[in-house]
Amino acid sequence: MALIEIQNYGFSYAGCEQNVLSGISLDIDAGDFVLVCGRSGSGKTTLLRSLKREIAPVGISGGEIIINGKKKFTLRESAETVGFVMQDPDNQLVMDSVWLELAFGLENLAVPPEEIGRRIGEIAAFFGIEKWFGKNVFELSGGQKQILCLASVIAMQAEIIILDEPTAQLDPIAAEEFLHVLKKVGKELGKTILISEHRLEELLSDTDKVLYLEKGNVRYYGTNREFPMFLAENGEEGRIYAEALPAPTRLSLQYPISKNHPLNVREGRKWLAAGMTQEDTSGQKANTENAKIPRFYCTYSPPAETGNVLHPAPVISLKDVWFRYGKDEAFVLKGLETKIDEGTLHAYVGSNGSGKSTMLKVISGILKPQRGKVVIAPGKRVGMLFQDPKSLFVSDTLRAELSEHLNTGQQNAKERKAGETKTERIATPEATRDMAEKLGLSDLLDRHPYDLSAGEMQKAALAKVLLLRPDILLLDEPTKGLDAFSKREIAEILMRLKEEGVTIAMVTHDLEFTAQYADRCSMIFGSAVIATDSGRAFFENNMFYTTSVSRMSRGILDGCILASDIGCREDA
Amino acid sequence: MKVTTLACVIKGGGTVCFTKAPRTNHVIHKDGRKMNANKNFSQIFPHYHPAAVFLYIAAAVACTMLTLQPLYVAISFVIGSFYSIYLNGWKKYWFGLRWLLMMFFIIAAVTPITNHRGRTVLFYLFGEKFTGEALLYGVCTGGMFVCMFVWFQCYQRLITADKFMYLFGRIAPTLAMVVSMILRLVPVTGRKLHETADARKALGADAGVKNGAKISGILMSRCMEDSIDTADSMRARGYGSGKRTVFKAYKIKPADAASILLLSVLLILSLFGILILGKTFTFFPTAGGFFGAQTGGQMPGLLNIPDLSPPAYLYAAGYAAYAAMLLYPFILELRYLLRWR
Repeated sequence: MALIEIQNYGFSYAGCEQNVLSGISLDIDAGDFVLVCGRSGSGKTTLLRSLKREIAPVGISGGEIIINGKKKFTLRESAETVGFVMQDPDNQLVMDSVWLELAFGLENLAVPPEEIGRRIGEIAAFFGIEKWFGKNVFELSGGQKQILCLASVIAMQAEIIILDEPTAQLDPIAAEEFLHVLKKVGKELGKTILISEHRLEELLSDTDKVLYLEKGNVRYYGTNREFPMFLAENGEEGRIYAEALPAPTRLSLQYPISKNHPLNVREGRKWLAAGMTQEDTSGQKANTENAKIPRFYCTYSPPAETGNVLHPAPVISLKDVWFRYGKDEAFVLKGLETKIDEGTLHAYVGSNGSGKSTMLKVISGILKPQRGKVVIAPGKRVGMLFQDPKSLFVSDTLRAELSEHLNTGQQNAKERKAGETKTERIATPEATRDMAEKLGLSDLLDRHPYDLSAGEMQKAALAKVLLLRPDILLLDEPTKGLDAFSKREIAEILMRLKEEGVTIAMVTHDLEFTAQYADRCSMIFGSAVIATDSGRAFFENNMFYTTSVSRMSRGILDGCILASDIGCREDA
Repeated sequence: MKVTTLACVIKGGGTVCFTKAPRTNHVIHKDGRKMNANKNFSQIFPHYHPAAVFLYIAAAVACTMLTLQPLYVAISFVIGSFYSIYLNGWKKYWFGLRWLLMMFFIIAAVTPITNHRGRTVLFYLFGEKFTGEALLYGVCTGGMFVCMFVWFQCYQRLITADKFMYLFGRIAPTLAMVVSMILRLVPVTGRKLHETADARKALGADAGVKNGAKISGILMSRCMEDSIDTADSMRARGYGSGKRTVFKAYKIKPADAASILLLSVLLILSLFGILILGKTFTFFPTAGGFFGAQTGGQMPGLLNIPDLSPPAYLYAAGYAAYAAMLLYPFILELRYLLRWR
């Protein structure tokens, strides 16, 4: 008997015609690692929450969910059976210190104090959290916080662990760290794991089963190996979603030379190498030289030298910028120097805590450097979008949000000197409507900003900033926690802005996104910019800190950094 | 008393958290505060059972509050300052103290202006006597406040939030949990506040009252929104599913028990010295009576029979017991250091 049986389950919110979930029937076996995917709004969260009664959404449900042969659970039984990890690590942590947090669930279950000590010790050892065991929760990094959430659920000996986009709020490095721990839990403890996740790249090759939802229906439930094939054959939506697949898988779908699609870089290298040496299968020319021609080639050729390369003037230049948050604290920026050219998309990458976000705040004028200068070309307005779009919203509806006449205030003395009048910058109702239309927000104008999906929220925040008509747009992690659809939309918006002459500076961890869209790319390390290159050269020259296509093709087919760089010769 | 202690925990812990909470979420602090925190670990007394540590600090605070006798105030101030510097470092000690010194000077100056008792007239101010006794009285009153503050500085370092929780968690488990949750909320909310304020600034909002009101509005709705998640997370982990247990992180060992016993004895002796022997001390009309009743002064209270008035060495023992009690951590530290030889 399966551990979780879902029989013809359906759900709709009260007063809402449309079903969020309909006709879901599936069995999940004990010990399975199930990846739940689908675009935002496909019902992933509703399905996962339905498995945990206490936090299930309120509405009308039909069908049965049977866990461990039982339909009903008391609060305590449920806590011991199903553990749930949510998106935001800050919100789900209850206590202020690590060990209290670990003890919290066990105390609720009335586990004897001696037993609690023992379990906490075991869990701390298993998760490697002894080092920060005595710390206060607010001292932890995002990844550590999420690991703590997972650990405190597992301490309660829950058989089933459900995770709802646990890495959406984390940067890629923290996300990898977390997923690594999660895989360990699956492998070494044999827990049944259900996880919804946009990052197929890291997870797909390690899952047992994939559950793909589309508009509240299960479209695919099966092995991870066959999932790519399914997506490729599943119409428009599936094809777009396939963009979220790992790059090697995408390539293999594009050039199907074998039924077995690679799911990670290692498999991708083998696949590519096999393709490079494969004999021409058409037969008749087997003995000629042609047979040795590799199947794959690099489609990219550097643009012809035009002699005098036009170098646009920088709109922003940072000269020897030093910054720290307090008199006695370490410098976050140490002599940082960089130039952002007009009309380009300049991406800044680098590890956590290298000072990337601080740099943006210094450019925007929110923070003043203690040493050095930030020079912004005269008459240029700077707009900044923060990492958490929520921090921008003040109103009850998106409409009110967009028409908030914030811009009556003058931004800085420079503008006053430039003789700008206040009225110029007031967002008119027309401008608001146009902006909403431009960014595809027209249907959402009456919604509460917090009720929007991650992608919609990001667009709404962007709209709000764009209404100030900035010439320079600063973005802090614009693709964090977004699915493939939203990423594509954001990219389209940015490209359009660039055409309109807006200069964009972006801080990001998303290397694939950067490689695809950035004109120039800088790496920040140790509080300073250590390398700047044109977007492409940057990734070609990097060995490890680069896209997965680059890592996959290096040494086999040099010079490829995007999936579109690898071409395939047609047979015959 | 308990309520104030609680308030101090919230406020004290809160301010520490607040200043430490990074304005952005990636700044790891490598500054002095951190080093001080580590310095605590090189000491031995903070590692004793929280009950022993709490007894010590509570005794110090209580005794300090109970007397204005100059010698006791002086002892408390000197040892308290030493310990605060030892625990917090010069910088933090002085930073906190300098604000209080202002209050100290005001009290010390205002008392003799309003109080004209005492025989030693220093000078006349606006036709009124400005007496040495009244000045001493003012200095001692102000001094007591300073001492209290210094001891609370030590308290903050010695009784961390989790130790407080451990101590009072069983008496009032729900209260203790709520305190921990509040302590958790303070830095999180602080970070959100900075984030929101920065975002508004980037949008070009004026730093006016209107903007401030808006920011607090957003903060409120964000916190409420986020607290739904927290409530879900608590229920998902079985909160409210019945009786809870409370995890005990510390066990009383013989050394802890010995410390508690010793501190209790010293506390009783000190209280005897302060409450009973201390009564022979009077500020007015002349200050005196450190080691027995002043001649000409009246001895109030229980031991008001001249023949039975205690000998001077008993008074000395009272001071010694008080000093020994306050110096107790130093005694342990010294013993600990000697073991490294």
